[in-house]
Amino acid sequence: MRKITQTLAIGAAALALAAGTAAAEDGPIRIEFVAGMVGIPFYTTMECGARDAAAELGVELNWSGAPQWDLALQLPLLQAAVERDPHGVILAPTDPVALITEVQAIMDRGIPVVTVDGSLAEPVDVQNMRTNNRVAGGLAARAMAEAIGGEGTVLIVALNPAVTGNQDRADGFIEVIEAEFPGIRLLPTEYPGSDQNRAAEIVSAAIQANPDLRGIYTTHSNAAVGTSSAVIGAGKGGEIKIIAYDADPQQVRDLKDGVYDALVVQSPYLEGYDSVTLVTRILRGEVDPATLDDVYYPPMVIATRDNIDDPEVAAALYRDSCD
Amino acid sequence: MNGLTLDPPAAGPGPLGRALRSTPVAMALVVAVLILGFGALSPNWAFLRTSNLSTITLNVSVTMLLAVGITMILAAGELDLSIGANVVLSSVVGAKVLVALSGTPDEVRAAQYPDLALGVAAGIGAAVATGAAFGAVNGLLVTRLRVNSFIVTLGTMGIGTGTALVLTNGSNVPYVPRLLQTEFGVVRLFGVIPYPMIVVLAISGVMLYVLRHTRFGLYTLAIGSSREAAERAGIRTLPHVFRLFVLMGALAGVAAFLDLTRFATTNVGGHQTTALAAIAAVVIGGTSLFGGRATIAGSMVASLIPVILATGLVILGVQAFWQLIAVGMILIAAVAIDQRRRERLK
Amino acid sequence: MRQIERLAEMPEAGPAIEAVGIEKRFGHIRALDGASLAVRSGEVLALIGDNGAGKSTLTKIICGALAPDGGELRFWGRPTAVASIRHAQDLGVETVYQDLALAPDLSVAENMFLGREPLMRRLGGLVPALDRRAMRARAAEALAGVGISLGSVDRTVRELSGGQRQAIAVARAVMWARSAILMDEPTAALGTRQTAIVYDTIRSAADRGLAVVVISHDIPKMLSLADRIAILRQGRTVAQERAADLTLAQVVTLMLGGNGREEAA
Repeated sequence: MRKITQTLAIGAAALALAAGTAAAEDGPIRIEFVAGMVGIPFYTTMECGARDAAAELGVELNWSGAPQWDLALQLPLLQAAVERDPHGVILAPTDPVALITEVQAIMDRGIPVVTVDGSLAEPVDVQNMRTNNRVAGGLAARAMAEAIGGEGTVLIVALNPAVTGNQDRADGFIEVIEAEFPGIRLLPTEYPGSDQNRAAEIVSAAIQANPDLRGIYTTHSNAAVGTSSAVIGAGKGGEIKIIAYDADPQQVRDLKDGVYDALVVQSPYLEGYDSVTLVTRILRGEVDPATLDDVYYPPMVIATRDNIDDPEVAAALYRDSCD
Repeated sequence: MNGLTLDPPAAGPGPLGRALRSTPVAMALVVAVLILGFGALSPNWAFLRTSNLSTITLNVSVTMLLAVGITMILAAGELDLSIGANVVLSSVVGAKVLVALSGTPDEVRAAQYPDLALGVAAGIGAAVATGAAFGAVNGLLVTRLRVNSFIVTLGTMGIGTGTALVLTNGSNVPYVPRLLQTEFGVVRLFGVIPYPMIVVLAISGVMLYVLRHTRFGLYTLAIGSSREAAERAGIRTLPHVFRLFVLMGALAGVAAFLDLTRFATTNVGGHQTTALAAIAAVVIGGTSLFGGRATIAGSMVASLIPVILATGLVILGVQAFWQLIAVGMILIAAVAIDQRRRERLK
Repeated sequence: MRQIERLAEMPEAGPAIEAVGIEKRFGHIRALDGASLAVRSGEVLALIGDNGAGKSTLTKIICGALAPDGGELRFWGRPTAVASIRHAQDLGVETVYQDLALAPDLSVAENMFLGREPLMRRLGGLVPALDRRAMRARAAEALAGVGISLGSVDRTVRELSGGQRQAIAVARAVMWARSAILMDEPTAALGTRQTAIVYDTIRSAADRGLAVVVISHDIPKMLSLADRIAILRQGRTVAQERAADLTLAQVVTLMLGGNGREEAA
């Protein structure tokens, strides 16, 4: 089944190639970008990347997104985008299953669809660009080892083992620690869910029970907020190293202030930039969709106080606006 | 006295008997047993360290404050499921006001807060006012539309959460000054009593007095025990219930600001189980779910139990999933034993 | 209107409480359709009628728990619209309700003072507090005054028997009443001995100068206890006579229908 849909998708994309090339002769390529939501730095940064690419490539980009992460709000925006007869569509799917038929239908009309950030349960799109959470966890593990000098006790505060994407962040961390850093002892992973207070409770207790606790790796922002509150409250700020996910302006400030010691920076800018570039190149016939992998993982960086001003790190941090 | 005695006069229980029958005292014993038990089991008695016990009180502060408020609501035979949503919404409004008045957008972005005092004062006011307004909406719906408070607050729970998400686009209010946290939210008086806990204890003390020694408290219990009897005694029950919801809302507003100082950010995705946790603590502490019988001391003591369990199990290194199972079992056991004991003593 | 004319003939001072032509509808049901009564200070009036005759409704209107749709209430001859239970209480009128109106989770003392608790001031007059000591003392005194002993006024009403509860409701009314007491079946839950106590209480309350209205189904007892009898039938007062002038058979006839008035005369 998977193979068939994939073939269909490629076939459709090949059609799109022809259609797109034809359309491009009439005027500039028009691409619709439907974000997962708007108003948060992660997606604003993605928009910056998409707009930069569009400007460089001379294509028209229409950016839309709902104020909340909600399929019911996103669906009408996607349908409106298709009504505008674009040459290509980029979508950050808010639901892995519900949007499969929608994306398939767009592909069937000969419009190539690239998905970013989230992904679909079946690869009916041309390509999916997202963070490799497992690799990100590994990067965090190396950053942790560096921060604590390669030894000591470390706690992972994750979300919920049933949320696969988030669990990959923990598993990738564990794999690298176990393989490369024998001096680091990992405590059992804790799962406070998205509850800051629960995260704070757990971390407070772990600090009491483990005087040798040197580092805490948090896989999502609520865990990071609860963890930092507990660490500061225990008077261990700076002493216990905290590695957090994402690089909102607030988090970057907390990194500079010493609340966090490293941030795993995902690549919203590159997801925006690369997806627009890919769609444009397909439409211009420069890339054969059949040769593309199902998933592409843009490179990530780890931000620390030492490298935060390096150009490639600074460029990856999330922004409030594109100015 | 020439009349007859209606029934043989039954002597009321003496002070000792009354203490043994009281759920707050029983729960205090449970708490003591848990503390000593975890102390003995934990490596180097780590659980009994002052710093640990102090942290437990910090972690319980917001739940305890909400439990105290819910005690008053349950005492009157009502329910408020919306307090978690109220905390989220009030903290969002409080944080937005605080940040907006503390400096220009560019200043706060650069962690400069030239008007911090003004911002904090206005932020506290905005959080408490929002909480009270939220409570007033609950109160109006309950008393004017005469819709059951379970349904009303189930509805406003969604409305409150939704409003908070609309106001923030689903992400936490940025640039809340970290100073709130480092100078207040996690700081302890004499290194022992967390500042937020001082606020909670002060408010709880007032509420304890109100429930036990004032007309307001007595009328609350009377309404919960028999609304008919309260009305026949000339008590205007609907305005009273309205005021209780406003009071609960204002306390949620205070809790919201404490939360803000504790984490230096809002918590728009959080507090989904806060209302249930608070209601559970209140009922475990000996307050009737059906009104008329309420104990604020019991609510305060019982709200400690889940946090003590969570902390103790982490310290013992119990795996995360087993913690959930253990907490559930111990809570049910504590209440079951308390009920048996009270029945036996009757 | 004949009974009203008879009242006017009475020699003593005017009635303490007078209800004239009271009407009350609940939806399509006419609960009261021109009900009247008059009771003087120091007098026991028995209000008698079959189930559904409107006895409880009439007392609830007099005590401010219900608003009438028509007719007039007079207190010491002055037309008065009783706006609330509190208003009636301010006029010195107390009520023993059929359902007793006790809060089961509150103590005996709290119930007896509910709505009118004595306050004291703490911390230099800044903080008001319930004066529980005064409540206990006065509640115990009031209960003793009607010959009731409960052991402790701190017990919750939930712990008490039906008879004890009824006694508390009666004692509460007696304690607060300054002009009148309305009692809706005050002996319903009581045994013989306890009933006797309540009847003694009713008589002594009247002897202290209170106007007492008693709803009861115990017609023989009412004929001996009450000074006058008012009989309601289908929401209307069909007779109001001196108890001494009535026989049991006449009361029953009046209650159930037929022309008992002529027989009585």
